[in-house]
Amino acid sequence: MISFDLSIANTKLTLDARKVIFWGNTAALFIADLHLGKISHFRKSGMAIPAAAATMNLDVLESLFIDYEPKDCYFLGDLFHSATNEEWFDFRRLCLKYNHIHFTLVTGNHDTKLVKYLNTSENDWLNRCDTFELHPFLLAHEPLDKLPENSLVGEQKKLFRLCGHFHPKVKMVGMGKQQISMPCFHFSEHQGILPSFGQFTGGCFIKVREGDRVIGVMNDKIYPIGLSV
Amino acid sequence: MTFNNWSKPALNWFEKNHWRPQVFQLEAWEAIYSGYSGLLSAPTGTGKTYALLVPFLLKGLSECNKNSAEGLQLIWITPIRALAKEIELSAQRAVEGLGLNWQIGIRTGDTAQNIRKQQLKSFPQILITTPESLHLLITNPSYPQIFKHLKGIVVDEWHEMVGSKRGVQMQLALALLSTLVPKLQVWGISATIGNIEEAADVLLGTYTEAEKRKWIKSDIEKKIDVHTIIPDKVASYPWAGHLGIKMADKLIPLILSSNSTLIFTNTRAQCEIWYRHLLEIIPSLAGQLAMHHGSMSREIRDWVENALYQGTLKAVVCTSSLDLGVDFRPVDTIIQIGSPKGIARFLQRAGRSGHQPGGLSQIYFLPTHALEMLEAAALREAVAENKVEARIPPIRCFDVLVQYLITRAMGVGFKPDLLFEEIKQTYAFASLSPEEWQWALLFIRFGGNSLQAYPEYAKVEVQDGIWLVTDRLVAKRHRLQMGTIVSDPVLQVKYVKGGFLGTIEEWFISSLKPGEVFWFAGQALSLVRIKDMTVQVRKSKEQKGKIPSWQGGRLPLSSELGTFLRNQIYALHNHENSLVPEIQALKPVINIQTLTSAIPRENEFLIESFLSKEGYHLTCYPFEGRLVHEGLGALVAWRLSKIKPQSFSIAMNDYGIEWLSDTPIDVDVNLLRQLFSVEHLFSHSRESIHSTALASRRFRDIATISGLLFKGYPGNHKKDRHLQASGTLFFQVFQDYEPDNLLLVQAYEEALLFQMEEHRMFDALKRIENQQILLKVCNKTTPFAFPIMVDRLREKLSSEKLEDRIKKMTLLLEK
Repeated sequence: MISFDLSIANTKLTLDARKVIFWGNTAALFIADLHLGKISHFRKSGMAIPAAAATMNLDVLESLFIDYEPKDCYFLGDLFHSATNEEWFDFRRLCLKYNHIHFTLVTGNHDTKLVKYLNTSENDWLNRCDTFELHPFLLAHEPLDKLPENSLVGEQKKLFRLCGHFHPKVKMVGMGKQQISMPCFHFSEHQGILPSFGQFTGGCFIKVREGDRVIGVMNDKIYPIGLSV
Repeated sequence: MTFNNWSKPALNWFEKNHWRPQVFQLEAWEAIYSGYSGLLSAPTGTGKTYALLVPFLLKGLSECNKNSAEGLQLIWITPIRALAKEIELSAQRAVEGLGLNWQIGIRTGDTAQNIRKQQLKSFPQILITTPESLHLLITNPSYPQIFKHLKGIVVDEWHEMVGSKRGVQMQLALALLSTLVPKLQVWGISATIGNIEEAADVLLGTYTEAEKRKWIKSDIEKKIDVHTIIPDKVASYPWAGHLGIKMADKLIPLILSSNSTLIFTNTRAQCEIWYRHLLEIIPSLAGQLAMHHGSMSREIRDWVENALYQGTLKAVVCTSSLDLGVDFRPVDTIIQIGSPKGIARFLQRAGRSGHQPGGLSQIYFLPTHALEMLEAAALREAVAENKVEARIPPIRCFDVLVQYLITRAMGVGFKPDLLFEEIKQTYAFASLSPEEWQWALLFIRFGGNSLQAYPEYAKVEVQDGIWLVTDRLVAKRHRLQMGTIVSDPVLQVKYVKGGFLGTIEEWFISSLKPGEVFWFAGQALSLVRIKDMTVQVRKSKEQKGKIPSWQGGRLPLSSELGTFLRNQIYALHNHENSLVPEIQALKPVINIQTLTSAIPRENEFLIESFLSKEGYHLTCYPFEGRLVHEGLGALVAWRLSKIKPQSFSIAMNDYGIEWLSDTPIDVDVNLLRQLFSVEHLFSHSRESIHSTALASRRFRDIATISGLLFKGYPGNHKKDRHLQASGTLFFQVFQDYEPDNLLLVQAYEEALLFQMEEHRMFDALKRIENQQILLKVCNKTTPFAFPIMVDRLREKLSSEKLEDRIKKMTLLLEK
């Protein structure tokens, strides 16, 4: 299985094994934590990670543009890892090639350093905001648990939050001391956390509560995971 | 000048001190007089230092007429910094005794910056240093001048280095020095090891002349008495465990009646626990009991060593950190808690007592679980036969090679063709091919085997054919990263008001909350805060607290000791042996094993199968040590998984292997024959390595040594966070994008050679092929199986579809 449909806030979201969500209603693509330039950043510091891993990110991105033909593409923060570099320019070239798509960046903690650069005219093609209301969703970078409740104003409280930041991973156990762990989508009552899109990014194990939905991703396949109660 | 005239001053000096040169000392003097290189094998405390130091002083004496010689004459390499001081004192005495006007300098990680600088201005004639500090010296552009007048280099305790990557590092330095100084005399000192001749070949490479080599042996042997501490009631002695604390009472009379005792434990955590416990049960030892392990600060350790030397301590609880080092003459008793895992280590530890010439070494062995009692009997036999392990020298370590290439690109840079010829003279890289050399060059220059998409990577520049590091940041980072000993990330433990106690691993301390109490270096400490890379603590009056543990450091049983142990098992059937005290004591456990399963005979290979709440178990007992069992465990699981889709969790200890599955493991004697067959071992072990995490774990160290992983600047924790990634991630990325990277290939090779110890696996399977398979279906866990099952470290292997596995699994819910 390479995609899985999930009903959230009375609408259908398509979870794709390439670690993104496609919302068919408005033809919107949601992508979290691309961490552009992480590999180049490591290489610049003398750590010889295969450069091919960096181009892989963009190949996958392009395949998504072709498969889903989105009208809008939302990056849920941490588009950048550190500074702009060759990876960024390749990324921009790719986005401009698909210039019928509207690109929006919901700024994440890694992006803040680049806000000034992103506001220059050469980056007009990329909208930028701190959160984005897209009824019935609120697009943000950080999950709710980490923010104080009162930071949300009025309407936003009622919206279903889609976010990233956490790089969620799930661990399962079975008889005979069996264990599996993999990156996952994590949906709870008020929010859904996307796995990190970027290659070569780590992750954190999630805490699962009753009623949560967990959908794992591994080797280009998607695995809805049943909960035992 | 004849040898007799030449050596006269030394003989006179010896006579003045009422010493008589020993035969091996005179042999060494003459060999060095005649320009030889070589290896001296002699136990500690027998005069090996003067065997090799004195002749180089004599050379100085005859060549420069007592005037101070120009520049550095002799380098003395020691694997541990703690020994440097003692060697300096011995050298000082000899220099004065012979009336030479020579300076002696120490240059190790402990040497102050101003002293290092001073040395660079005017180098001492004798330099005592470590392999790491020697390599750091090579990053200094003035190194060709420094080494210009060098006559000799002595590598002390070579047996400690030959089997590790430090040994490879040493070989590379020796090749460089021999190229700079064509007549350089290279000498090593080694304790007895199983492959001493190979150790000499590794040391001397092809950079020393084949006709100018000598191997000198001292004929001094040490007498060792081995005693076993036997529990009063074996029936109630635990079947598994590694602490041994239950028998602590038995140590009281030993400690009290001895002058000074060293108590060796196998891990630092065990050391902390024993120290606390001994203080509790013998309160009168307060002030006379100390502890010593590698994570305690140098300052505290120096204090302990000094007090031992002065004879003011009654006992010290220690780890391998005191295996080597200065002689503590007051020490007359050694206690080994738990299996020493190897015969050489046991002998070495025993040798830490009874230092007087002809003195008797006393060692007491305290088994930490019932079956270890057999190990005691095995050890005694091994000591009697004086059979010591071999240390396999690693070869083709590309991680050390790429690190060294950057090192050489720093100082004065290098020309690839010349350096290739130089490096090929080492034992480790004798088989380096031009293609592999090209790969290494491309790797340090472009960060990969081709000019890839992104050019950011540039450690080395090429100027007029010379390869150089020009970037100061690259150089700074490299100096911090150099070395071949990889440890887990550590934090410094300090009092709030200052005072450094030692280091602790990050994963342990992050499990504590401020205010919580833990025991470290024998003190109860309360955590105040963690700031940057420092754990700030206060002394606490609480008696209870967590005991830190440190990852790794669990040594596998050597194959030599394994053989002795197997023989002990077989001999259990021999009634004459039932009088051996250890075996007599073990009787109750042997009876249970016989009742629930069987004791294998020499022509039998025991395999047990049983069912428990956890699932279906299969166990076997090759007694080959943890690492070989890891390999065998993966191999058999892989072969099983080819028959039908199944998932295994594999556990092992030094005695045996356990396979655990959630579905029945269907085997009969015929199938077991195939599972343990030596046929296709070569290809099957390679395939099985790919389906486990063995290579991935190896890769972490390789990635660190080769500079792929950067551990961060000391005290600059946060800033480097965005440059950190786990070794597993690295491994995965290489696996996906650069599967032919030689560092990755090395991880697999190392897993086969050092982890699985393929040759030992082959021998073990050959042996099993000649045995009958004794398959026992048991109703419950046997005394043999129990210690394996409780082991936490498990390997996994599965041939089931992920979907199918997930279906059988559950998520743990947050409570």
